[in-house]
Amino acid sequence: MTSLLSKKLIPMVTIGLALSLLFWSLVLSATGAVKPGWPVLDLTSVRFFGLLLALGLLASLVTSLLERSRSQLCLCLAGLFLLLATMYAYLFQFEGALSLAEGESYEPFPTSFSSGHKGALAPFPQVSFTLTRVEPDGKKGRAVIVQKGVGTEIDGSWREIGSSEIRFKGAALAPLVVVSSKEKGELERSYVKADLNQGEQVFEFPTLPYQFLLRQEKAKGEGKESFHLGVRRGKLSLFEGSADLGQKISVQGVEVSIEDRRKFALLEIRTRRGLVAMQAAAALFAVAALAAMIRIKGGKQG
Amino acid sequence: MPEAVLPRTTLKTCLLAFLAPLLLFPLVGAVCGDAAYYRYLLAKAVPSLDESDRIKAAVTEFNNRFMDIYASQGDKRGIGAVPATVGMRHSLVTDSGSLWVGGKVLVYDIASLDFRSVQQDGPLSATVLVKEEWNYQYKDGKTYKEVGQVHGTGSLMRYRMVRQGGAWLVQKCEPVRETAKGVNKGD
Repeated sequence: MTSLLSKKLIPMVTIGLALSLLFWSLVLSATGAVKPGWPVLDLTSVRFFGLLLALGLLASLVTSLLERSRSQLCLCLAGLFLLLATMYAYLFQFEGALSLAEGESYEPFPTSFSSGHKGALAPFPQVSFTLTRVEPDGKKGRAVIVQKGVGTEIDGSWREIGSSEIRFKGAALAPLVVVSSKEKGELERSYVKADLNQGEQVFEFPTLPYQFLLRQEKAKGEGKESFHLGVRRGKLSLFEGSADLGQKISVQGVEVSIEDRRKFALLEIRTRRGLVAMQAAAALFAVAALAAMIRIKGGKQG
Repeated sequence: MPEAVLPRTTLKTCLLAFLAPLLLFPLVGAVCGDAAYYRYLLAKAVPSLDESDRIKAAVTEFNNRFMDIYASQGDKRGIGAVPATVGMRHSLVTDSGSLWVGGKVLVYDIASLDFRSVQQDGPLSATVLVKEEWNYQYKDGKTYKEVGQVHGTGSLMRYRMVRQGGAWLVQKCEPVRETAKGVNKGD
């Protein structure tokens, strides 16, 4: 009895580890504690249980060899393959969102991305391209990128670019904000990637102690664009009112103006490595599990 | 061992093998730095365990420290105690520092902080809406004599909070427009 228990205990604990890993991952994702997908593997507890599961599978593999249990051996090998393939895919995956203005080139640096998820061993996508047009000829949901002199139109579906994939998420308008003072000249001149199509946007510059609120106002007449500008400092509102394109607004010793607008594209880039191997491992594991179940059922009936 | 007891022992061992990892999982998480995630799960099941009070306390502390920095003529020695991220502390230093350079010190005083909503967006992030009323006055940086009158200002502020090292910190603080229908989308 004791021998039977010790033989079965390791596989049972391994199954228990796998089930608890699956259960808690589902609970964490379903309740919104972590985003579904790879972020669940960022948790130390999930990684720790993954490691215990790998050790459990190795121990079960050894017991299956000692017992000469072919179905258990297949299941353990398939489980280990699935675990390794998942780890590889997690470590090398990359997903990131970025915005590029017309004429701007992509650079593989962390600062290029506004959000995303990167595996520990994944490099930033090593591709080079320039965004040349956003919504060319009024075509909504499209942009043109140029790679080594060759133009490619991208849209909402993933398109291969080097060893990564890219897609167009949306277009937006960035205002050119200029802040200057009489004594020091121009203090700031930047296109702010704050999408005015989404209503009022709040932004600030790291070098200035002001917070700006900007939204587009309905056009007063032909060719005259107008904005609603708010300038704040700390808890104080320093200015609140209309500002036409190019008009200089005096605020506490500085002048603020919106001098231009520029289209920019919201893009997504991803790199997925080892995904096919992971899917193959999952299929192999399912087949091994099914075969083992049929064998156990057949054994009981026999 | 009597034969009738054997299946019961096996069943108990099986149950233990399955249940032990299931119960140990959040405990291991709590020990190895994922406590915020399991606390968040627990708060979903038991609403009285949510962190609204801690988040509100962090916002109140932030505003008290904010007031102190300005009231102490831009003295930045206490900046490390402000419950804010490095970026947010940097903007406080930029503001108070440039006021000092201008020869004036802005003195703020909280009139009221009315918490409109506290929403925990995830285990490590929350959004707080506060209707704030402040009194303020400029003072001469050298003589500390009053320059002008005491004024009042009020606005609805949105605080983006992040949980770092077990504490709630202000990551971003921005004004929000209040309309008859509620808070403007896209603000």
